[in-house]
Amino acid sequence: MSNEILNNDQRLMDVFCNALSVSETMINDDLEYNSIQQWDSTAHMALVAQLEAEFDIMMDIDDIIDMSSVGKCKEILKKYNVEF
Amino acid sequence: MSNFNLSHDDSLQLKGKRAVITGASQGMGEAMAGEFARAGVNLILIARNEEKLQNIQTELLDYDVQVDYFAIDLTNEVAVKEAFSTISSNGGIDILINNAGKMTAKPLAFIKKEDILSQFEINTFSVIQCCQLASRLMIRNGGGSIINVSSMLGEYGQQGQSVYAASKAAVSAVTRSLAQELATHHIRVNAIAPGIINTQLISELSDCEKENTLNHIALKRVGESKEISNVCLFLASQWSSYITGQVIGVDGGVHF
Repeated sequence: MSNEILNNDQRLMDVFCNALSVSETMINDDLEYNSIQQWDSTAHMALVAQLEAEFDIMMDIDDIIDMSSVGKCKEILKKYNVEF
Repeated sequence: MSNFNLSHDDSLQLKGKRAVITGASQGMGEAMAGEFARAGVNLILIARNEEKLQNIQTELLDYDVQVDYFAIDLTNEVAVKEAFSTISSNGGIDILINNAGKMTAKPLAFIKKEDILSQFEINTFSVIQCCQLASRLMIRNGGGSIINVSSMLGEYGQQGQSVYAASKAAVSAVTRSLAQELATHHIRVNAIAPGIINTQLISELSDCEKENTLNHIALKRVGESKEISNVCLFLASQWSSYITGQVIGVDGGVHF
C-alpha cells in the first residue's frame, strides 16, 4: 500500500471526525448516513464541504445523494481520482 | 431621490470579501457590481454576454478590486458547476447575489409549458443550484451571505405575469427555507423584492403607462438601481448579522 493511499485514509478519517464531531473509533466503512445522531443532513452538508476542500474536488449532486456510508464515500471519491 | 451611497461607508467592512453576482452584465446586476466594487469587494460576475462583462471588468479596474467573470448560461448546469469549481480553487466566496432573471408576460390562455420551464429554469432552478454550490464553499470559509433577487410580483401578482410571479414567489420560499437550513453553517439567506426600477424597460413606457404605474407607488417615483444595491450591501454586511430568512420589499410602497 503506497504512502499516498495510507495518507488518503487518514485524511478521510480526519474529515469524518471533524464534520460529524465524533471520535475515530466510530468511523468504519459500514457507518451509514442517519445511523447515528451526529450524521444528519446538516452534518452531511458540512461533510461534503470538507471533503471538497480536503481533496480539492467539486462533487456531483448525484454523488452527494449516493454517499450513504463511509465505504460508499470511498467508492465515490475514487471517481474523483482519490485512491484508497 | 436619496443620493446616499452605502458603498462609501467603511463600517460595512466588506473590503477584501469575494462576491458572486449573477446577471451582472446589465441593469440592477451591473449597478450592484459597481457599488460592491466601490465597497472594496472582489467580484466574480456571471452573465451570458462576454463583451459586456469585459467592459464592466475594465470599468471597475479603478476600484482596486479583483474582477473575474464567467460568460455562461445559468441554465447550463455543467457550466455553472465548472464555474464554481474554478471559484473554489481561487479562494471561495463570502457573498452570493442571485440576480439573473427572465420575464415573459403572457395571459393565461397563451402560456405554453416551454414558457413555464424557461422562466423557472433561470429564475428558480438556477438560484437553487447556485445556492447549493456557493453554500458548500461558504461552509469552508466559516459562513457567508446569500441574497436572492425576488420580485414584488412574487408577493402581489399581476395580470399577464402568472408564470414570472410564481417563479419569483418560489425564490422567496426557497430563501425562507434555506435560511433555516443553512443557519447552522453561519450562512444568512435573504431576498429582496424590488418594485419598479428605472431600467430600459421603464423608459420605453408611454406617458400614460408611466402615470398609471406611479399611481400604485406610495413614493410616486420609480426606484433607482443604486437603491437596490444599497440594500444588497446592507444584507451582505455585518450590519444585518441578525437578519435571515427575510424577503425585503424595495418598492417605494407599492400597493394594488
